[in-house]
Amino acid sequence: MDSKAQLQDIRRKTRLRFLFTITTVGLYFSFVLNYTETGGRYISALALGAIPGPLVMFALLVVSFILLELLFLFRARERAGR
Amino acid sequence: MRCSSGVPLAGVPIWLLCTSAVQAAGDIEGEVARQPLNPVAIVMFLVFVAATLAISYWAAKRTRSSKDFYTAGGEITGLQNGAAIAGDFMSAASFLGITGLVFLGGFDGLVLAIGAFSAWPILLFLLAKRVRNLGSFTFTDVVSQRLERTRIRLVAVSGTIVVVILYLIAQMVGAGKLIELLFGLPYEIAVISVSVLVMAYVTFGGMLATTWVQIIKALLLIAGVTITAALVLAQTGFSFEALLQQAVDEHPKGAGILSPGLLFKDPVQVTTILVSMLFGTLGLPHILMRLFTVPSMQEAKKSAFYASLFMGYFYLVLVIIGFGTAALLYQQPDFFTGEGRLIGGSNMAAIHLASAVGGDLLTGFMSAVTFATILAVVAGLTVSGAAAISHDLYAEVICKGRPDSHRELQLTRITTVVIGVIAVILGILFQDENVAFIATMPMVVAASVNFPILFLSLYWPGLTTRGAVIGAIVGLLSSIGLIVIGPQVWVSVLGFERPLFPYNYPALFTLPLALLVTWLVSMTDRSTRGILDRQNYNDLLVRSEYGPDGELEVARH
Repeated sequence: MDSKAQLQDIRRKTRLRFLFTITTVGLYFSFVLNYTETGGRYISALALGAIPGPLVMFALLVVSFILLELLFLFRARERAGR
Repeated sequence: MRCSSGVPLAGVPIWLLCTSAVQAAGDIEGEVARQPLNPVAIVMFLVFVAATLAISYWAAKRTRSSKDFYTAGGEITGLQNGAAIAGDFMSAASFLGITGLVFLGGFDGLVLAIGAFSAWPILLFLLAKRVRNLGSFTFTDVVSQRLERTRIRLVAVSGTIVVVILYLIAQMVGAGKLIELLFGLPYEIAVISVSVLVMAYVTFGGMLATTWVQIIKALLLIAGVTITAALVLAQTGFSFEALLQQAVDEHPKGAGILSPGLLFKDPVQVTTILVSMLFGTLGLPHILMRLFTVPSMQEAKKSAFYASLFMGYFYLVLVIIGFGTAALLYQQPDFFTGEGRLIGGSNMAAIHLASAVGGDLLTGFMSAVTFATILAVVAGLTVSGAAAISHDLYAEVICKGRPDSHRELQLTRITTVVIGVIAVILGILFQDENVAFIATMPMVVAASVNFPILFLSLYWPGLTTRGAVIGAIVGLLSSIGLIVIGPQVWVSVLGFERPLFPYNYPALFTLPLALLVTWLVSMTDRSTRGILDRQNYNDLLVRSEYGPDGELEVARH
């Protein structure tokens, strides 16, 4: 791989890293919505039976972070396999 | 509002236990209510100590070089390292502190849990691969790759030492109070015991022993919280909804515990806590150092993922335990003082819950796990501090990267002992002080000094040494300055009526300021060194992605 191709490859990977990072950071700070009136109303719609929306959101965030990591690792492996 | 004089528990989010909002959580007080000796806890703890000392003996025979000492020879697998990272990070505060907050304030306690968890995906996406490929032993190695070695190393070492020492003070004071409370041991004996054990692990077994202490502790903690959560759920027929209902019925705040707003009301306050925790964790030197203990960048990425799995599970189980304390403890007057306070403060809620659902055996087990937790965290800090002095400062700055390896290893061991002694002295000196602000600083400093240098050196071609140095100094001074004029120091320590700055954790303001100053100074830097720093970026970029072997790594991965 020549240096130009290397830099292109790195740029692609960096874009991917930032995409995952921005998604994670966005989801993370959406937790603050719990402390705003409008956000709180939307989040309460996530309720599952007697389990309130904010608690469901907490669990969803933890699970979605792990899923994002899995997706990132799979994509990295897939690209390396090509 | 005043934070208790004794304060914090061991572990990462302990500093948050002292936010004004968390005052109500009733941290461990200066004069703790010492518990009677718990024989089960003592026996279990002695078993743990014997096992970990045996591991240190085994590790000592394998620790012959600096590389062995700092990074366990780079032979830890991704799974083991992930467990060790989790062991380093899932602190007594995570377990006792967050549970105590949920016991008092319900949902709001989970702000700290999400804050403590979210750094791990970012570590995987942004840092794991590049840091692993560029560094040798510490994050300082990474930032000195493209910038002027001596100046940037001195700045990064200062950041590391500040974080480690402050963190250590908070750990030792928290450990002394906690052990006094759990085991009935006098404060000084508790502090000395922690230090002596950690010195034994680290001086002889280096990172290898530290890693296994952290792995064992992580597994014990996971087992402990799983058993406790299962026993809690058994009380309500394994129905989480029924558990929540019972918590609402028993808790003085009723249904309010299921919604935000009991401990935190201001969205800016929540945001600044989240910023401090996320970016502070990404700048913790003892956590970043763990990325060098694995043989490849693939394993480094796996480490971050496995760490997330362990911690994700832990924090989800903590929801059950937290609401379990609300459901089960308020109905049992035995756990409360005559004035209606939980015996030992709310940080004891998890231990009382273990007692309520599992009797003396589970209480003893969880107490022993808590002690093990403190040892694991302090051991990680000690290795990191020793590496900063003997590797970053002695080997790389004083010896210009060509140290005598035997002498370096010797110095590392001496440094470890010195750090252990300093930890005892500081622990005893600060035992009656308000260390809340000291416990706050490491995360804010890590977020405002270490993280910006590390992130920009990896991702911004325009960074220059001058920009990094001035940005780091501004990050450090602004962090300390805003903490001093904030509620913890200005009001609680200095006795003024109102703080000049309203938030305890100023990373929301200091991190952007450090980034802005770094950017501005770098952009206007026309020095020869600045030009060289920019030119170095592409070379660094290729090595950070493909490793030192370049093409070879591409083919391999």
